[in-house]
Amino acid sequence: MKPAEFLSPTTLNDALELKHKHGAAARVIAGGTDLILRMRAQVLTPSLLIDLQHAALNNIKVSDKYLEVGASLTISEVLQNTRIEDLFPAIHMACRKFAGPPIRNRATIGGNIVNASPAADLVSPLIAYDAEIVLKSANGERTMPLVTFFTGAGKTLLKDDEILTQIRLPLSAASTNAYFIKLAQRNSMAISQLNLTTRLNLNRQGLIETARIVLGSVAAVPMRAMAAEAMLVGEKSSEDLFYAAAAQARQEVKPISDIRASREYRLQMTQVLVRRALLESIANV
Amino acid sequence: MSDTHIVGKRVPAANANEIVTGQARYCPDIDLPGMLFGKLLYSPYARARVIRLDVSKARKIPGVAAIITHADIPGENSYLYAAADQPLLVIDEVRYQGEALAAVAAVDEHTADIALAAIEVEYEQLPGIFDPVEAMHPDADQIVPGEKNVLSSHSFSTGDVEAAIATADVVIQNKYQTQCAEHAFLETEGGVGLVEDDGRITVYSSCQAPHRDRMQIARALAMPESMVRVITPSIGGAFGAKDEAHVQIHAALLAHATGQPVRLIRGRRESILTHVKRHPFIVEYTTAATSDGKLVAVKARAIADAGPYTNATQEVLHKFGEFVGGPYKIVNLEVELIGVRTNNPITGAFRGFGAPQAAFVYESQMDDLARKLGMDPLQIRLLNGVETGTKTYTGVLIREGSAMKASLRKAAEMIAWQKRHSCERQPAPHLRRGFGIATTIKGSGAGRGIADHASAALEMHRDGSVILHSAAADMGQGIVTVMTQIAAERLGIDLASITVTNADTSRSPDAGPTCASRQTMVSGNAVLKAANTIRDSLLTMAARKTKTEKHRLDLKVGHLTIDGKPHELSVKDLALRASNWGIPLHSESLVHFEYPEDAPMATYRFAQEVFQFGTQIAQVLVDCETGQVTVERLIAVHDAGKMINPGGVYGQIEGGIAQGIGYALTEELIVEAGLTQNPSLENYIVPLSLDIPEIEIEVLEIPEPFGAPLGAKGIAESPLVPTAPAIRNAICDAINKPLYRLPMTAERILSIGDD
Repeated sequence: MKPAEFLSPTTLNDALELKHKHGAAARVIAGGTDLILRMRAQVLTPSLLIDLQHAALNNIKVSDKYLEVGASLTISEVLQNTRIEDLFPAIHMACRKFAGPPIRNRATIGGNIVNASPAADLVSPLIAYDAEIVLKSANGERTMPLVTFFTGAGKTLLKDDEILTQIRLPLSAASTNAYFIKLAQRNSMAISQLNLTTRLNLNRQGLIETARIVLGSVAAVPMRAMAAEAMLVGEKSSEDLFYAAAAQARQEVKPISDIRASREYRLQMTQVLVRRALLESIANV
Repeated sequence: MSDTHIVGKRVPAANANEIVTGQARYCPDIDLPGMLFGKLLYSPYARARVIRLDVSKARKIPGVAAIITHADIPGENSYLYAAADQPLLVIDEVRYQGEALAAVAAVDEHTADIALAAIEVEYEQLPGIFDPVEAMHPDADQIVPGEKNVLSSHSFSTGDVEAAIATADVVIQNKYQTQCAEHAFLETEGGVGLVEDDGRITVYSSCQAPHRDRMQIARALAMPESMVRVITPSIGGAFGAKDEAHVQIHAALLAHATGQPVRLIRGRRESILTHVKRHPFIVEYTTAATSDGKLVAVKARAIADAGPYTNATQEVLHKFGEFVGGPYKIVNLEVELIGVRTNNPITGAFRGFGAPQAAFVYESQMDDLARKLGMDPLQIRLLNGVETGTKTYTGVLIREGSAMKASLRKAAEMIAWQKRHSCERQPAPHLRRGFGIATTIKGSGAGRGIADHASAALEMHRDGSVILHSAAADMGQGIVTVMTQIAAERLGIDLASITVTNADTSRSPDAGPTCASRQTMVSGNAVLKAANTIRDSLLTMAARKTKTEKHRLDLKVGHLTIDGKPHELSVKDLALRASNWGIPLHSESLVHFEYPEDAPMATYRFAQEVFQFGTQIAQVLVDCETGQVTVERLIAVHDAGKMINPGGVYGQIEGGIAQGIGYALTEELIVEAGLTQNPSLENYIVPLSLDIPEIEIEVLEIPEPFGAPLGAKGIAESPLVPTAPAIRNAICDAINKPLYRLPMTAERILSIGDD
């Protein structure tokens, strides 16, 4: 591993200044659970690491429209947050399946996003709850829906001088009719062969008003199965409906074969697990 | 020895405190003044000619102390396990991915990395041979020039197999495939070499065979073995892969070249790419039986992929052959064993040593046979099982075999086998529950024809404390605890009074390698013998002092006893008196595992004489839509002879089963055209705590009558052996389809579930 300088700014502004000054040569480090591995493998060779642990990005607060989650919150902290568990339970479920306790104690929600792995476990539930993200630089900030952030495996719209600071979960999207499934080769410390989140918001008549089917590890970026979602809106939940939507989702995903699963298996599992997740989403209705 | 005071008691592992508090020193913890960091340059190709290897630029990099290639090795440029065909550093051709070409010693790790990158190698890639069947073809390119690709070929037969098959009521014939598997020990391979003031070389080695390491290091350095000292620090697991030498030889070469201490530790990726793996096997297997389920013949042909070099291939194949029929009475048996060179990863010793591959095959066959005959899988095993006094198909007499059927019966009782299907077999539309049984045989000891002896040296001091020197490597399996218990028992002292030195070839004579579940027997016997000598001195002293006949005396919990009653004389008193009187209180023993005269010398090489039996029953839940398997329950009944340390025995059983679950379901080194696709613990899927059910264990304590100390025998390997076939049979019971390939991944199960 190539040695890098390590700076630990105590304010976000200092961190942004450093990022502004050093650009692509600097990498932000929060938990480092993935970054360090990539540095060891010489995939990344930053000359400077900007540590975010002391940059005050680890709080959760409620505004009138959002639950605002600091980007350097660890997965364990997200897991233990009862507000997230109550309002956005699929995120809580994903945290439970995330690696194992030692990794969860270090890895952060922001890191899981900017890492831009197609298999990132937290991204599918976040997208399913219509999460927005805040990107800051020394020159200002911008927000965007998380679903638009990824441009390819390991690639995002994050600019060289920007830092992901916050994830905003719209309170209007909160739903307990949601479910997360991770398919993996073992029960912990596993990279998803496939992960997915479904969310259904029902209206007073019990018809589906909003539907989200978000899948990870079935395309270069985490993706929504939008045609399948559209089949659900305005309908009444039923096994047949979910079966049809799952078959549609299978048509929309574009998986590859890799070391963890074949393309064919991922296609098959998309159909099986979307159906299961939809059924589980309304299990308590 | 029915009223033992320490043997048979659950005691903490000898160095447990040091390990859990981080005090234990492993190779990577060794830090010496002026120490350099060693690294090896590994081939990225599976097969390539080395056109040019130029280290001149790399040598000039500041901080680089030495770079050595094959040309700089003073002695023999080869490992020596069973054959000397694998170079330490490649001369002109690399034959598997990860083969080493050069060794660097530098002031720090980063500089060593820079030096590796500055070494210029020009390769001409060559077409490799990756299919063992293709490599067997007479026209196939020779993988090692001058050596046949078929490096080991052996056939063994007894009875008239063809006639028996021809007249059998039922014949089951299948082809099996097992995978290349990685040991995944916690501590990767490492060694620290240094040059002593007098020119001797000392090497700290994470290994299973310190004396064999010494031999290999000495021949590489062209030094007499007396000038080489090998010490084992704490070792973080080995499972067979550290039986064969790895980087400790290179650490010694670099220390010799620089005159400075050199620490050389493999990274995880390098470790997975380079050390010997479990052999993948292709097995064609025929079982013939009568309509009432009696086995009449077994015929098998096994091809093992050796990678390019010999290593333990021949021995592993023979162990496969020795157990190919399982723990069953088979009169007609024929087996052909073929080891083939390829350009795949090298393969060698791994816990079980051929027995797990054999068990997967013969226990799958037994279930297929039972299914075909509509018989209970338990009954067909009881019907055919060996017993005490059975002569096996290899001609070996089983002197104690009652555990075979006892373990079957006990395991069946624990899970209420006859009522097993009264549970919910389909708890949800997509879920199926199944039960599988497997019963297996595994031997203890190196086997006939292989050196199988051990020494131990004990000395009691005037204060009654004892030092024990043994070169038996403890990789975590617990031999040090076992030896301490045996010595304490015989000398009537407590465990705390005994200090055991690390294996060190300069003060401990050879105990042989820690392999083949042999150390409890062999080093256990060596310690017993040495302790008995000292015990005799103490009792002689006591008899003189108390004017009592020796046979009435005993040593118990620190005291002399007369006719079983405690006497005021303590062991300490006796030790002081003995040392004042000049009665020797030190003893060095040498114990050979004596093979009996009725051993069938002519036919079967390496045959073992002491066996462990074991039965496991798995209860699984299969998700028929995803192919995923949950092991819900695992019953394990194993035979360990007399247990010395029950804690160690239970630990071995749990650990073996965990490894067996991985072997059954997820573990596979994926190799494409000789290149390993998953050289990391991220993608080489070993099971973790959440993947392993509560394991329900019962140990049968049936004292071993033959050559075992206090009736104890090894247990290190046997618990791994039945796990994969038990799980296989449970899955097949659940989904009603057979499986013939390991590992039984979700995808594979799903793809056969479609039929």
